[in-house]
Amino acid sequence: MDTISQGTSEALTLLVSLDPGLYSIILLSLKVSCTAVFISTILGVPAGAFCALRRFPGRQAVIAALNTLMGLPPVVAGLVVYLFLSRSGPFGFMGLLYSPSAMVMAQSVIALPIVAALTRSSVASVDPAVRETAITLGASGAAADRRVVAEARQMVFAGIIAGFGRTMAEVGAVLMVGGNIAGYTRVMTTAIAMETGKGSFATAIALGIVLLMVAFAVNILLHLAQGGARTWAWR
Amino acid sequence: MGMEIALSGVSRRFGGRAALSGIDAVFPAGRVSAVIGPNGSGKTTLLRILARLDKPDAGTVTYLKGGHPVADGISLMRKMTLVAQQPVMFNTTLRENVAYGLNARGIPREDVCERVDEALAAGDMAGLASARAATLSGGESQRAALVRAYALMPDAVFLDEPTASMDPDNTALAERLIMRMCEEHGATVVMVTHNLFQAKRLAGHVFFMFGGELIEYGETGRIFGRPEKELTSKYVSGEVVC
Repeated sequence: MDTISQGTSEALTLLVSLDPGLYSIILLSLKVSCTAVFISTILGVPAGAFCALRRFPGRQAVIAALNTLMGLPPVVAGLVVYLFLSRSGPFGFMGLLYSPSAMVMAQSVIALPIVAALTRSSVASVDPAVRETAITLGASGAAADRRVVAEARQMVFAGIIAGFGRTMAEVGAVLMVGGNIAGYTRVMTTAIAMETGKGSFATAIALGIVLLMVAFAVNILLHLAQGGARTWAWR
Repeated sequence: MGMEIALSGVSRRFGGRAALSGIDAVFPAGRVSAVIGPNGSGKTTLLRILARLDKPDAGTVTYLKGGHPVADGISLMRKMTLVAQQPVMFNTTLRENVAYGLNARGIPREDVCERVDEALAAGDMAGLASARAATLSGGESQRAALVRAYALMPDAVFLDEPTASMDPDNTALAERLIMRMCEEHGATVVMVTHNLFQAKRLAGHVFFMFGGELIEYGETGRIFGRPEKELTSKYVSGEVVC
């Protein structure tokens, strides 16, 4: 109990004193995860919507692959990115291994199927009469498609938030391709794992508190999205 | 100015069942035409084909404006609209719903605002302009869909039982809106209805369908007063036809 209470007390001191080492880890975590989710959104939302709205050869196989990849083990994502970025890999010449860019790639690989698959199922669940109505009101085919996606926006947003939650909590892949280098690639999850191993609980607990707060914020956003957030004025 | 719509040998099958069989008809420009008939007679299929949401297996549909055929494509689609029996309202405000079609047609923003306000006032829905369309009742949604169509000032409008969920007061309001589309904007109105009194009140021409066939059509007074076919006579006099 002493360890827990003492660690928590020291953790709060670190948080309140705005410890630069601690906050640089927090900021890097947010930066990497936000960038990865941004990339996943840019690619995943159109891809998911396309799968929902269009018929093309191999569509069912693509949908099955997306659904399968939603449960992709992070270490497998890390392994794939590692193999591509390692010196002997096809992109080894770029020298990105053990960099924040490599961590963004790994997290994007994890978040992209989540965003794409949830977008697909959200858009597919929209009443087909929505598209017909848009067409009868004079919308072009592309505009009618956008209307359908807009009707599913709350669930699409929930998918993006779910992807963000997954990347923030992820440790295996970023450890493999980032290397947990202090001041460069160390993020909250890898730092917690390392500090706990060292028996340095204050920093681990402080970061754990922040992770919990982020998880709480993600849950609030998810709740708002599913409850009918009106912040998207997208036609 | 409304469009005249001419059908020649239009047929449509779903699986093994013929929904429409060799329909030949002309819907006159700038007039209200009522399509009547029992359930399953092909009325909604006909409306969907007229609105270009479905294609006939055989036959042609020609749209004539000022005696000239209108070319198929998005420009034709933007000259007409359809109001479904259970209309879909987008998950936005009522005002945004009414503005949607105008924006899609590329109407200038200041004109959009003016026409939306005018349409909402015509449908007595100005007080609900900021309400979420999803919160409207069934009857209000039907009225809102009519308002949305009215704002477009289309050359042709297709209505599938437009007052089915409305009480008498709202029905009267909706019928005034339909007549204004026809009389003020010159729209060709094709309206499916089970309400024979409504057909008598609004329509200049009546089309009676049964079993996917157009049994008879003509001016409203003749169809209700001196029908040529026995089936039509039975139907308009309220007898069961099956």
